[in-house]
Amino acid sequence: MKKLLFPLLLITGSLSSSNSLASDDMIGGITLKKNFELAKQFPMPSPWLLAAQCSACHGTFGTEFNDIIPPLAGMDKQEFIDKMQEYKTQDASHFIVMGIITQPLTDEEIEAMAGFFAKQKAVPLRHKKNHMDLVVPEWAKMKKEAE
Amino acid sequence: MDNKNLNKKAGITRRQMLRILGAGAASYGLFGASSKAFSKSAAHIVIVGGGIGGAAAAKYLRLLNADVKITIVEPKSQYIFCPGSNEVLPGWVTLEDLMVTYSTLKSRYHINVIHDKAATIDYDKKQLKLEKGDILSYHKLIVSPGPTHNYEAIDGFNDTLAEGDFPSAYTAGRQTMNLHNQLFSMKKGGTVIISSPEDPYRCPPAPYERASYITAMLKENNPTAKVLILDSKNDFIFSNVYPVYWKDRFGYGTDQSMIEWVPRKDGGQVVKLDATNHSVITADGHVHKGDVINIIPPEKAGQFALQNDLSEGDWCPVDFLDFSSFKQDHVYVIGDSVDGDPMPKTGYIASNQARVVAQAINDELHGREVGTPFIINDCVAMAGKDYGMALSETFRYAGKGKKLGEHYHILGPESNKAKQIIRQQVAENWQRTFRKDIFE
Repeated sequence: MKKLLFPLLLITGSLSSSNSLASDDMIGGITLKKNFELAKQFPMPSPWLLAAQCSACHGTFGTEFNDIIPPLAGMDKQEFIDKMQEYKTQDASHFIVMGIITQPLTDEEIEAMAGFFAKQKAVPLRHKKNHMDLVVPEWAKMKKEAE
Repeated sequence: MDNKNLNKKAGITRRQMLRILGAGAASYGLFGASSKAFSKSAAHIVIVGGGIGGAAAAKYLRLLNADVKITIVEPKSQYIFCPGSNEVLPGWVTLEDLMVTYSTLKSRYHINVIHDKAATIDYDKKQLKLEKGDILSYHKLIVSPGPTHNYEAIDGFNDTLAEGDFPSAYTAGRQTMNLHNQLFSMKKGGTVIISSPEDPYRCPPAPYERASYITAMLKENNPTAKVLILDSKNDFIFSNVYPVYWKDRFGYGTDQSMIEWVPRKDGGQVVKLDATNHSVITADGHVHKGDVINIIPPEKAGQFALQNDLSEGDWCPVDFLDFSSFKQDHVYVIGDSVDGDPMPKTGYIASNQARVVAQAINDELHGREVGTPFIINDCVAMAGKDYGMALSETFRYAGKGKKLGEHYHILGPESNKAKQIIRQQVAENWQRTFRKDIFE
């Protein structure tokens, strides 16, 4: 069940990527290149701290499943890595937060997070309501129309 | 693990436990509030402020270290979560919805919470004095007092007026309800003035989010009313998104627009409140009369930090490796009081600074080198119940004495209605998860 949500989030991109003008995005601060240079210059942040940075949205160490943001605790390591790389390499406007948040992360950091979350006790999907099509009633209809 | 059961098994009541703990416990200030017995030699980490920064520091330090004694000093027994409090203004949620208590931090995480106000620090003795007279000895002190709203920076404005007829409502509480009531009882066709402050201030998109919500509410209840944002800045966060939404929903940019934004360069900087005539005066001398006047004043570090020599100018300088104060030893400052540029002042950032400090203190207690910090800020703001937006920032350590390396990405406006709603749903759900992450 847990796997359900990610493909759905991916679909939000194919819904209307032509409507999202990437040029309207605002990108700033240091460049991604400089960001990766800094990452290389200092020891990697601990897996604990990297994973802790996800808590504010995904619950304490990824243990929360609210209506729309999935839990990370107990997720298969390779599945986590694959999803994160998918987010990182596709057009960020296809996603809500994950496209823009993954870009500055190094492969090693993503792997460290994956290892940390894989070791946490898994959080089951508690109620059906979590299904995206039910959360947003118009969603299923619009998805169909867009296709 | 479960000390409550252990104590029960051993036939010890809480009162007996307190007696056993004896003088050692008393000198650390009433550890009986939590049921765990700590070793006499355990390090004591004292935290000033039980907001997002302080509560997160306490909880995440506990997740790393079961043996350390942790005390939060916070005057209020209930905390009103600030993220989401703009939604009280149009009546979409109530203040009660945003209230959290310290009961889980106390019972589940064995954190001692003293409801008193921190007064002064004796840095030589490493002691914190509370207003009612208690003295807490600390090994490390984390200071997270939130910002001071500098009402007096606006001529003619002060905290009494803010508590009365001119609510700023920029920390969730009574002023938020006052503003809510004023908005709903405003005369037909009235004008709401929102004055947005200069940087830096808590939650940069909040004044614009607030303006959006208020306009949406008025569109339904008082459609000839107007919202005028007078801005002390020339730009604002999500300025690539909010105006698009305003144009679509409120006719922004036309003569009929319900909402108007005046940047500093065009006379947006409010310098004075004329309470008698219910108007504000801008730097170029223009007088704007408002039926509801909501001045969000500039900010500086929390009074406690300012009064205890932790600041340089208005903010507290820290070493971004571990957020230790550049001014005092064994003291860490987190949250809105930090001179943290380019980090914005957000609850999200405060919580993630807290996680960095928790790890740094734990590393130090174990005699390890402090780990490299890494901070994320995600802002999932809303323009309305049907429209959300997102930005993401990462902050990399760049070396001692250097600012953190910030990379940010703000998504452009979303024209697809389903995606607009999904972004809004993420924002709304995030608030709930975030509250739980910090206080449960």
